[in-house]
Amino acid sequence: MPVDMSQFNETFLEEAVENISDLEAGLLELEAGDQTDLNAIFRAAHSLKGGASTFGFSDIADFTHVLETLLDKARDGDITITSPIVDVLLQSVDVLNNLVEAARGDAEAKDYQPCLKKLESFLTEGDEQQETPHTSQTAEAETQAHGQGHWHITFYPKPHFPLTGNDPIMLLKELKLLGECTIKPLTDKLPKFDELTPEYLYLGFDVILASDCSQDDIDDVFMFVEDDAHITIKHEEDAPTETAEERVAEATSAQASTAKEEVLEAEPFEDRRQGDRRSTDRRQQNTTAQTQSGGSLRVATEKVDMLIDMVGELVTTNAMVLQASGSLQEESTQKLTNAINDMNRHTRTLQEAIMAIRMLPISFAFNRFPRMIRDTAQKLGKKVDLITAGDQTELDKTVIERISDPLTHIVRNAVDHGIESPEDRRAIGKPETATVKLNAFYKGGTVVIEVSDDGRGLDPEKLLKKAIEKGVAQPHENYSNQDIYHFIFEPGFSTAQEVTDVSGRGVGMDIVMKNIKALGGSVAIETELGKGSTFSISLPLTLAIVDGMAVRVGAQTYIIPLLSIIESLYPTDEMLYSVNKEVQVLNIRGTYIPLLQLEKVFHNDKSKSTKSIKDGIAVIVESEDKQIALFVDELLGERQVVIKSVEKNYKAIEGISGATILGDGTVSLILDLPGIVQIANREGLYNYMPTHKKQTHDATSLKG
Amino acid sequence: MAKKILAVDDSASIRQMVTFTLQQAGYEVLSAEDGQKGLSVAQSSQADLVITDLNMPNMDGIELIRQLRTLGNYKFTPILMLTTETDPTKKMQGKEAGATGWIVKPFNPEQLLKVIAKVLPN
Repeated sequence: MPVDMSQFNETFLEEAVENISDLEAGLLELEAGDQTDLNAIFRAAHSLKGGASTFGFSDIADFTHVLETLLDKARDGDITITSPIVDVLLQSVDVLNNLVEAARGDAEAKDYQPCLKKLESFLTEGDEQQETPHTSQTAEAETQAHGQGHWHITFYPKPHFPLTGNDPIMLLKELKLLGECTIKPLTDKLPKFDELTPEYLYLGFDVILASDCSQDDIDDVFMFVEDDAHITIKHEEDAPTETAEERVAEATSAQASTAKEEVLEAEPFEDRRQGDRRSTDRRQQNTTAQTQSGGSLRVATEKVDMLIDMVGELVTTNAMVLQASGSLQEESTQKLTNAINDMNRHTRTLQEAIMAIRMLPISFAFNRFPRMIRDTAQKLGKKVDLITAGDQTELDKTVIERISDPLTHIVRNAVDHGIESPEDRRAIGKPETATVKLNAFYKGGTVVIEVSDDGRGLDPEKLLKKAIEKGVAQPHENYSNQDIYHFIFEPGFSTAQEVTDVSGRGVGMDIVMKNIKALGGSVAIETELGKGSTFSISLPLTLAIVDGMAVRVGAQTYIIPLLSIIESLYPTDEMLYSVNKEVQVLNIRGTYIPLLQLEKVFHNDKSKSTKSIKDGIAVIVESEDKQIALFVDELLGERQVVIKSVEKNYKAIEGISGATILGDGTVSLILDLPGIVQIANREGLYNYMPTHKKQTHDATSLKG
Repeated sequence: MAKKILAVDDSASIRQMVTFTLQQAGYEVLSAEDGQKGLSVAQSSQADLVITDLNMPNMDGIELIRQLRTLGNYKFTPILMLTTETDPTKKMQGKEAGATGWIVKPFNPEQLLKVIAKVLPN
């Protein structure tokens, strides 16, 4: 029954990433001078090595072995951890991360020899490998096989023998596997009855083993009990004087009171094992490899995605049933309606429960920052402390994976551009050590991740000047501060001069913004000159479902994400202003908001509205702090919809973030508001940039 | 009835491998991720054999062995420790605490079953 070890690889690699991250966190604490449990750091390395060697990742095992040895010495106080050692240890973390990625096939394995050499250089004193006593003993032992004759073994367990969990019967049975055994009890050590301790064993055994096995084979039998018994093993040429049967008979009578009858079991040891296996075969077939402790269960992502897909289908089917039941005669179907309502509720609960499986704490993304900030600050000669809060805020695994890079960029920017040098800070009366704070919390159906620093803050005048220079902003426009801050996310705003070793990795803030938008997120900036800045990234909890408003425009039904909708209203003639032939705006309580017709955005006659403007409805939505009004014929009501990828099933369509199947089985498109704003901008449907007051709820959340 | 084995290791992959191997071999398997949890599992359900790693958070393997041996119903239970060849002192400490034997890491499923067969009566 060979076990396919590769089935555990994924678990091992995931665990390796955790161990490496624990190792890194421990090292950083160590460097910060915190009281760190060296044991915990050692354990991370030890665990990693154990797993790597067990599952055949020899590169990781070899490298970690040296790392572990060094940490072990540090733990024992043989080596003092100095700053250069920590540096090399942190480099080892990078090496290990690379090796794990390489093992996954996600990266090329880099040469780890240089780092290994450095580690080894710290180990120079007292480096000899110790051999275990057992190994050295067997090495000394006679190893040649004996063609004839027999082995004579006397085996006197020490009295405490049973308390070690060992059982002499097991050992004798094992000897029997080596060849024919004649076993005789030795009772000479038996004390007087009143001196007998019931838990102790006083019997000895005299064994004649007819076998051509080597002494090693016999040593192996006794390997666990060498210290708990007096054992002599001799090879004798003489044939035993008595026959085996006689000896066994004698042994039986003498031991009857103490020894267990298993000694006499005729059935060979191996056969019984086989029998046991067969009897449990059926049970095994249904058993899957899983840990049974209360903690967590590792499940392949595909399995969870499958569940999520299916529960999505269920929600859709549920909606269909719900809709169909609405048209039934009420009296005759009251019970059915009740049942359907229950089903509806349960489906929702089930969906929420399944969605929760994909949720991970944000700490998975936050974990990389202590190291990153340390390295960045060191490179720039700055002093930065990191505070994290809300580490346990959970969001979708995919969202976490995809937000990590943009978040890293924002944090790196905060350290690079936001924070002043220690000298500058001292000069203006700030503490030399700056603080970067990462905070995550729920707000409505979104998760907000804040990156705050107490650095110099953004200067709107300078930013505007630069934005105009770069052609990002128009010279004579009237911009709000929010608009100006957002220029840093515009393509082409960053300049070559600013590309430093730290921030300039070929990714601009525009890419950051693009990635966040792709997740359905947005960024708000709160900043005060000289005091610092806070970037608040709002993200949806999940990418799989969205609460939306279904609207009809002409023959089409669209879904507008509910969180973007500010209000819906019937436009009146007094509100409506035409800026030019293409562009119309609505004056809503003194704010001019462009009114968009979707037929023009999508160049699609099917979405040509059937109503005149004053008969229809304007849905005011907010996208990246800009408000627009979408003109629709009819509001069809709120829907929780399961997002299906249009790109995967058809091709990407600008202005559409996905599709969903409605209760009546028709397909409806989900509007991508930032995309629509872009199209409108490009096509001159929207050349009016309204200013509006920042929403008050944003301002309060930023301080939280 | 299948023999019940308690496997205690802080590494999920090792736990998973051990659990899978033992279940394949027809054993019933309980598992725990540190000594503390292992001890409470052992107290709530009598295991016929305990396999424990030594380096673990909260309560290490040596202490777990010591604690188990103080329990009446674990006095004679075979306890195997997972240890590395390079660590003879740990092995000694484990033996002194009451371990029955050891399994040297790294080990494969076949080696694991072989050592179990040494100490666990069928």
